[in-house]
Amino acid sequence: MTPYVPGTPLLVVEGLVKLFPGRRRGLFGPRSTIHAVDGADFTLARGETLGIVGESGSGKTTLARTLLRLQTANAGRALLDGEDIFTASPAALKRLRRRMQVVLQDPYQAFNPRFTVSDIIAEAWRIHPDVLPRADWSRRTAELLEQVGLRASYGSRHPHEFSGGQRQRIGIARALALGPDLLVCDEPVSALDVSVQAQVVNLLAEIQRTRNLSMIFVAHDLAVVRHISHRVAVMYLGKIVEIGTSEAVFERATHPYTQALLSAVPVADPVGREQRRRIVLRGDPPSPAAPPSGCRFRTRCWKATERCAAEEPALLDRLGTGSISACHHAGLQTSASGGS
Amino acid sequence: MLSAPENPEALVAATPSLAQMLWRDSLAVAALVWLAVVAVALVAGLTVLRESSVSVQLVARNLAPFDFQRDVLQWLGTDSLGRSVLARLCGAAGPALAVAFSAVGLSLVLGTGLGLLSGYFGGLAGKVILRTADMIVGFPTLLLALVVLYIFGPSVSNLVIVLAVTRMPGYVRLAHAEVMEVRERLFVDAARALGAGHTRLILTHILPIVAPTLLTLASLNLAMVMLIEAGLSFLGLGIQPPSMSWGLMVAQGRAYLAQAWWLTCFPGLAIMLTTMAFNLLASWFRTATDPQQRWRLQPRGTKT
Amino acid sequence: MTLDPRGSILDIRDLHVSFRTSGSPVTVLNGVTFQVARGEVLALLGESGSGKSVTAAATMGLIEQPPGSIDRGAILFDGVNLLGLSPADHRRLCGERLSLVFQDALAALNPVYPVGWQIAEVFRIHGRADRKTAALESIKLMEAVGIPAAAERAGHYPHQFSGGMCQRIMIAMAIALQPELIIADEPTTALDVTIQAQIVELLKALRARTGASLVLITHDLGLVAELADRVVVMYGGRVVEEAGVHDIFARPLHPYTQALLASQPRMDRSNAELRPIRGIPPNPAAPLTGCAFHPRCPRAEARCAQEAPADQMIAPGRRSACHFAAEMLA
Repeated sequence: MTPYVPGTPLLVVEGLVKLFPGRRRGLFGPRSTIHAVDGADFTLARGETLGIVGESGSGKTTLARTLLRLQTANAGRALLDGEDIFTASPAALKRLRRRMQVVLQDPYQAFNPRFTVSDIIAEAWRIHPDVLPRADWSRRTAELLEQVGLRASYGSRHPHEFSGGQRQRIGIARALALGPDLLVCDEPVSALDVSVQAQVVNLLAEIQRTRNLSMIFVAHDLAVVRHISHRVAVMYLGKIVEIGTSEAVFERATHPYTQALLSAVPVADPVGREQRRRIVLRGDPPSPAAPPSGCRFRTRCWKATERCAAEEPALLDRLGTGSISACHHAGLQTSASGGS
Repeated sequence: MLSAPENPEALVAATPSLAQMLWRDSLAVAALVWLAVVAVALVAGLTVLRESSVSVQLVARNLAPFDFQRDVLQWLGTDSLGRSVLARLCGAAGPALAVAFSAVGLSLVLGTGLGLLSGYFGGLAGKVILRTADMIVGFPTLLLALVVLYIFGPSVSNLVIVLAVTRMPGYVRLAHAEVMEVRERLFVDAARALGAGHTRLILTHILPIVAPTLLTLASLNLAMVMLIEAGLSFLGLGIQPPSMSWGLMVAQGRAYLAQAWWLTCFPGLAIMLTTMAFNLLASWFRTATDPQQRWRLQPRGTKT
Repeated sequence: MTLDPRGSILDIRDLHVSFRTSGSPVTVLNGVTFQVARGEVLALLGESGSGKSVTAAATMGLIEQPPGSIDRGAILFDGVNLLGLSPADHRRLCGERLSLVFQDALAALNPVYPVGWQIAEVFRIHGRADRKTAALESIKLMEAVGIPAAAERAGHYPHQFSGGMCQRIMIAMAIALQPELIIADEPTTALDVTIQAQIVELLKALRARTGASLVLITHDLGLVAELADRVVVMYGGRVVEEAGVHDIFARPLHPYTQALLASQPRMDRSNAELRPIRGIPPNPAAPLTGCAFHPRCPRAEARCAQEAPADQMIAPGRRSACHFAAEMLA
């Protein structure tokens, strides 16, 4: 990866909140609220990749979708070069959409089955006619297909004629059609066969390099995120619990959840597996409809004290290790720490 | 550029053409053949046989069918006024099919439109549309048709309208349910992310996906509407003489069932075969347009 | 390969399975042979089209014939050929002496019955206990797999449990009658990482306690490294390599295994360039002549497209189906 150049951030997100209505208790009881994302703050520089990791219920996918305004945020701002995505008028939003595009998770569902590949890619220009004159469409489609490693002749085919990895490439070509500055990838490789994942990851990294794109890479596979991200944010139950450079988060994690997450990833090396001590968290994550008071991780955390229930920890730089974390007891993992 | 080019032959499957898929389903082919015969009969009934279907020849009254020495027109027998049954069958094809297609067409377009809107936008309007559809479904079709036609008179346009209205809720509910499902699919999100507006999403993305299911319902409804119209005509509230319809022919022949069985039998057979043909084609259409079931109709020897 | 009849609990010999389609029959297993020793954990490693799940299905008698058909081969369980048994006898063995943990736990559980009832069903089907005893036993099993408040939750329905809990319930059903062989089909794929860790620890504990053999079907190299004793690598309906787990990771002797190891991003090898495997997984409906891997193989030569490599023992306990296996060993 080439190091990113710090400058004015491309994207600034402040206090993003997204709630969903939950189940109603009984017939007339109060409706619970699902706190999918409960106040997210982060910035993204040009040419930088921010990886967002977390498990199910962490809110990472909701965060990505809300950023793209596929869902409406309940609170907060997201400034793309100073312009707020969330309060943009429909016309302004349409212009903003040219600058941020998405690569979706499921290559088997991400395309209208009736469209041909050329239709899929050209739709971007159909919706934004002033981006590219019609005469140039087929030339540009061919260029995009070749840039993602497919043949130009594939344009006349339908998506179901392709394998998962090829479809994901088509999705990437579609996302590039408008020349965006920001690419949001929501689990782009999890639905693919293992031997094909590396192809798509390499493609994304190369595209990011050559076009100096900013990328938000949402995934649950930590190894993939580590490989492609400059910075990483770890989410738990709707909150960012740790965020920092890739190296700082993966090598010197200070939040207990991050440490547990990292230790839970199976290492592809049988040597020393008997001795490897692993933090195994108790129980299941709490429901996002009823998050614990104070720090949300305290119900599964081996370091939890009374303070954790009373006071929610803020995201601060606690140890000067290069990452900021939200924990009253943040600390580097020693060989003695870790619950069971 | 990537250093490893994709293997060009590495495409997974090719879509067979509609004709190829049709050929694999022999029942659907038979259905299509019958409908072609009906189409020919329809044209003949409007042109060549128009005269013969109404010309009264008292000399040739109640002649039995299958006597191949006689005139071609009399091969299916004649009725009590000497009119050729064959010619009348052809003449009746027109009104029967016209009513069926118009009623189904009207209910398809209106019902789909309403269902799309209620499914996509939801809200109060959506709820109102659905509840109205439910209320209409609550009435038995034949009863409703009888009452309306009795009150407002049995004209062809009234017939078409009442048939359309009673069939509409099926489309509304089906379209509504399908839209709600398709609306959540990933490619709709992808189009929204590109900046597509509501109109584009509904017409270009969602409608083509839900269309096959609705068209299948329409082809099933063709059969049902034909039967209802035949029933209404039989009861005297459908198509009125001197116009012809198969149902009407069945009614008119009923009095002579003992002596001239062919007067009810052949129109009845025509109704039965045509409705069956529509149903078979509907079943084939459903399989052909579903990418997951399509393998049943793929030509032998192609790789799946 | 000399076989110790007492030593292996499962012995699959030259298994060929195909499926009828509207076109010509598609061969999904093309001569699969391997053994599972008593008390060992064998990983069946492969991706889509490799045939690993079909192998499990064939063992458990889950292949419907037609459209499937077991064309050749034998599956010996404790010396008895499962394929020669009547369906009734085969069913008697399943659940009792060998069992299967499905991949998608929520889909594999019946949504209209409480989970306690479903676990107890295993006892009832095999006539091992009356209703009351079965119910008590199922609560004990739920506790054994780590479901909190088991007595209360036995009356809950599958949708009231999380994915990890459902997986535990499936495992409880699989171990209920203390089988000698458990087949786990992608047991952790649909789960979060921290839940995966819990399930892995559970499997390790169960293995230590009961001494059952475990066949682990997976594509996750990390899982293989954590749990397996031996690894059988499958590709395109064939076994392409077999070795002990340390050998497989330290020195793989088949280009597919090597490429697989090189293409996965690793937590401990950051920023190294990923070397993907070019091409796409094989299509069982369009089989190739010669070696199934040759279009994607960096070592492929003309010979590979014409001649399928034989499955040879190249070292004690190591097999590889590659023309160049011996060279790689040297």
